[in-house]
Amino acid sequence: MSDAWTGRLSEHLDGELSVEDRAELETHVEGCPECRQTLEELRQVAQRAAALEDSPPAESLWPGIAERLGEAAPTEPAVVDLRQHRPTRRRVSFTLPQLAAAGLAVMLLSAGGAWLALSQSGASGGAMPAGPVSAVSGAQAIAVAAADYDAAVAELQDMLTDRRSELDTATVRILEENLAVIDEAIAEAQAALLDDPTNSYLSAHLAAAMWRKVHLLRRAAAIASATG
Amino acid sequence: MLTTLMAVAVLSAPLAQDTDTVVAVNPEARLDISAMGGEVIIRTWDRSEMRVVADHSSRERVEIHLSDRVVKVRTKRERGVAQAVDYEITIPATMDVEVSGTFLDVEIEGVRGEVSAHTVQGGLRLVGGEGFVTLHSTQGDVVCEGVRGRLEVGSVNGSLRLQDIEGDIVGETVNGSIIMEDVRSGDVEVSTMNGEILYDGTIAADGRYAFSNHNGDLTVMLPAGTDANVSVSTFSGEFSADFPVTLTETRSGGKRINFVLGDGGARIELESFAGTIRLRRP
Repeated sequence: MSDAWTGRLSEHLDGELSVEDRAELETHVEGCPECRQTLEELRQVAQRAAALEDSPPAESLWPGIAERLGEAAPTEPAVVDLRQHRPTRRRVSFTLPQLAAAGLAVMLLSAGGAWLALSQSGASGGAMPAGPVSAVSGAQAIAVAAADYDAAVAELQDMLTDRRSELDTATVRILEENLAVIDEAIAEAQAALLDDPTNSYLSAHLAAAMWRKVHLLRRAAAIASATG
Repeated sequence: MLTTLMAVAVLSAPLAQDTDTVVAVNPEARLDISAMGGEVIIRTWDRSEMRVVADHSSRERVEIHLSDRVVKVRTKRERGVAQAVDYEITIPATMDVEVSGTFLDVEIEGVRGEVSAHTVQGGLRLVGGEGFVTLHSTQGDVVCEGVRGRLEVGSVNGSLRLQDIEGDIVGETVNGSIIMEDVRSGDVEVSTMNGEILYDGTIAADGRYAFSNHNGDLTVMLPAGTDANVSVSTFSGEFSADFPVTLTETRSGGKRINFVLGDGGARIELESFAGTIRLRRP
């Protein structure tokens, strides 16, 4: 269950609320156990993200990515044990609290902001911007999220290329067309985010599109495996 | 008698072309059909029996594996992969149903159990279904009517059309519209990248409704007297309402707005990157 303030808890953590709104939210949180719990969970995610170690991508990235997506048998958690937060159902639109609840926080929460941060810094995984993009997108979290995302997409696309012959040509065409639809949306969201860097909707929208791409690639891989 | 029959774990016999057979089944069991291609039509009746009618070549045979909990229907071929088979299956209405295939069209009607249907290329149509219902097609439309329970529905390159639904809804597609009519739900969350979204249903006082797309119009029908906190977000789209709203907050140059209808309560999130967001009266 949620209320009018639930969706604004992330803004509160990000320091985006006005003085009046912040005071009103804090008053609300005092009397609302659900919001209080959600806020605490968000703080924990932020703390975990901030404590991440910056490390190069592992040789086998997929288990970690899959675990973070909550869709595969987990091995050792590389970042955050998201099994604890695994959603009872998929989320398709993301706000910060939803992400935290859904357990995609570290990878996808940072994904939109990560892209922006990296593009603004002119780096592709190295230097970080001076200021935080959001409360949970510390520099290390951003680097890990961006590297994980890029590696996951590359790995899945390679897999799809390798198994292309095992898929029906019409299925391949449909998958490629829809990946193109998503890529176009990602590009548009990226351009929009450059225009309006503080827009948390755009950041979340970009993250959702990136997640959608990973999800579709995974589906394609699963279809190839099933029919191969 | 039924128990005795169930004790025969597998009723597996090569059946002649154009199978038509009736077997006793446990009405509480789950029907599990997996087929490479063709069509699966499932109907219901008030008997503890299952009738399987299948149209197939002489090189295919239909196998029915019976147990107390699961009834499996499979198409087999001596060599190679089984080709398309058209099934028409009649089962007790209380059975759960699970269907999967690659080049498969699925039509299910009258089931009062849980339903799971997945196909790669083909349409899905469900009338009925209770409890947990999940439907997905990669290339094909998904049509649901009369579901009572939790509905998870998806496509990649296809539209979702939901009618007379009572229960939570989660829906997503990449390239297709999502049309929801006569919905009674306290929790709706749907998303498409490229397509229209329409919601015409109830807004529960403590409900949550999240609609999101990248391109395409987003229309929500809101009855007079709705109590809700509404947030609207777009980048290059527009927003319009059939009725006056008093904005409580505006950000990003008017592209992100919040307002309260009535006494608040329900939470409605409307997000369209480039489409027009409309609030309409039914």
